[in-house]
Amino acid sequence: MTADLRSPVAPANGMEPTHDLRAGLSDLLDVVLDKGVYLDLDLVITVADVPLIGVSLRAAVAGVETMLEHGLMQGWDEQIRRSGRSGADREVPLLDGEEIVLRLSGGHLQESPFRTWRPGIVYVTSGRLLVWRPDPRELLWQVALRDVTAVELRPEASVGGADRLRVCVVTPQGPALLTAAAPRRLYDTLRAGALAQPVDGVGAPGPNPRGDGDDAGG
Amino acid sequence: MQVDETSLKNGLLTLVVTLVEVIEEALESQAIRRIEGGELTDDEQERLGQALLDLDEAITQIKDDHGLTASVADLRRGLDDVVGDLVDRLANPARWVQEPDGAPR
Repeated sequence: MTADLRSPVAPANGMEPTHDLRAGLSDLLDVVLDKGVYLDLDLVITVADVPLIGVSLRAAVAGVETMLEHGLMQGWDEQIRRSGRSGADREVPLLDGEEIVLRLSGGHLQESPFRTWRPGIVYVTSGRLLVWRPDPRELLWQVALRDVTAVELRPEASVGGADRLRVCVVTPQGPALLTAAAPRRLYDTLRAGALAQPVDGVGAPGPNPRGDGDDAGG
Repeated sequence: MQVDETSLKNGLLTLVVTLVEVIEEALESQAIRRIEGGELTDDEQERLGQALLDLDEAITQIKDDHGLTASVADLRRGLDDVVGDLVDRLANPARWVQEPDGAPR
């Protein structure tokens, strides 16, 4: 067959690319969103010539840029962006004179009503340690730095089995567990500037930061 | 196959994180299209960039926190292979029709 000569199954010479004209999932999704997909489905499920269930589905999926090109969703686009402009204050709410010392992505372990990690951005300011989620806006957790009695790095087995360093902060309300992109930096910052009064019983950041697990363990 | 609580959690988290990662990439490329479209104000562009950066960091953080980086990469590769095959079949139907006479099984 002459067609075989041009088919990838029978390469004509050794110069055929072995890989990779293949598309990944992201490439596929990109193409779909760039071009847009329109689905128009009518379905009637019938038993013994009696229609029982009806499905009438109209769907269009595309990137908003493509939607706008086709004249769809212009109202939505304008309305949503207008509301975004008016509610512009998405920054973390700071008190007067408060300054951000450190900003890391991280999270806080919520203990009640159920135990779960809540991701957010960990801020150390001149007066507070807080975990803030910008969208939807919520202050997940905060403590005044003067109330922090101890801070400790604690290795913990994660779900995947790898050890992660968590930052355990002891407050009058009890210990709180934080995670951060750079736990050691958070720890050092808290130790260095934040903890005004020296705290006894807390070891220096050494290779084994587990020195005083008793008073911090919750 | 052994299913205990840890591996179940691990697998489910891997799946979710992988999907979020795929969506994030789609969002990123659409964000670039919107910025290139030229309708967004400077402030909107800035906010968009920062939000996507934060999202990227958060996903990396979650993967690190749960030790999922390797398994997410594996699943991504698997999904890409499936999609690759699918696209290949759709794009080159001739090749898949030929296969039976080329290599009878």
